[in-house]
Amino acid sequence: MEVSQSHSETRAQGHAPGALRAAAAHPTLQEVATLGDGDGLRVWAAGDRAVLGRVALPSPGRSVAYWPGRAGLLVGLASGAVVYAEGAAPGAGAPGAPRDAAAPVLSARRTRAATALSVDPSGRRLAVGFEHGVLDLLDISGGPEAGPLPILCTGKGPAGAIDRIDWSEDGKVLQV
Amino acid sequence: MTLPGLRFTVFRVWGLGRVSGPATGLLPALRRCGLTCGARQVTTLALELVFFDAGSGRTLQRGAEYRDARFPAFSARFGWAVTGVAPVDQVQSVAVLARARERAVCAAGHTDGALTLHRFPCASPNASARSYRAHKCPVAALAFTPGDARLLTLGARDGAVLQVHPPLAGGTRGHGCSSDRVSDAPP
Repeated sequence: MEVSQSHSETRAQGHAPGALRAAAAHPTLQEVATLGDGDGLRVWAAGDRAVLGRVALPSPGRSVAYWPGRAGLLVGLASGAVVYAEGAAPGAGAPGAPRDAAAPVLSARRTRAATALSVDPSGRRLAVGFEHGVLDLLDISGGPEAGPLPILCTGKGPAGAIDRIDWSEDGKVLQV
Repeated sequence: MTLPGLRFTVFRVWGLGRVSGPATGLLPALRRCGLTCGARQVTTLALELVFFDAGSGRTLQRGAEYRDARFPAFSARFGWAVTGVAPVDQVQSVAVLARARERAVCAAGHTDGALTLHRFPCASPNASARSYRAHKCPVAALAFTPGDARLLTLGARDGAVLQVHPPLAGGTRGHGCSSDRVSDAPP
């Protein structure tokens, strides 16, 4: 790795074999989550670079988002499912120890990769973008323990994959 | 033949109404983009910006329907570009984008692995930017930590996760921009 500027530093080299796919920052803590093909989901402490948790996923992950107010993370998979990765939460076990924690499936309506996830500002709705341009809005107000997430509505977006989703401040408009 | 490519752009931008229009003040940038892109570029999907009604999932076709929407998190590449921050010829090189929440900075990860930092919002099409060599592959993801204390970058294939600590002084170099106005540079 060659870094030309002194303001960048190597945080981790060799996350795992395979491509890195997505990253998300904790909404309030100095923690970040990264998603790779090789070893699933990792949660890091941004300050000391320590791995706080790892979760092996049932299918390669494609997108990740923190669930405000919850201990775990939402992960979109290549299989189209959305799972809840609670085992990656800080304090869930010995730092860096791989987990086989169950990642309950919250949505499995699609068979195309879930390429983007975004929780609305109120924390009650989840927007899921897929590689074939479909956008699903799911109700997450019941939490992961409520089981499969009810779908609120579906939209058809661009001809290609939806790789980014932005919510407006009032939660009324989505930009992809 | 390049003319059909140009027509294709006009059709996608104006015929389908999928890109924000005059209501958000983006019309000049869109026109410029449509007229300057070559046929190869205009056929890519990066020139699409789609707005949805979050209540119904309906695609919003008219600018009046979303012109008042404010986006605290801004990661749509084309949406960012047409606000005037990115040089038109670099729109296609932007792979990922992240906007700082508390600082007037927008970070762009490029397909060649570079990281550029821009003042945001910025109305000048020739504003300078800070540019860094970050990865030896396309940048896969960017994320600002709370308080914009750190910026995380992921390389798609080099297995590296880097963090950048603001303030990001130095490292400025042109990347197709010609402005030397200090006020345009990211803080």
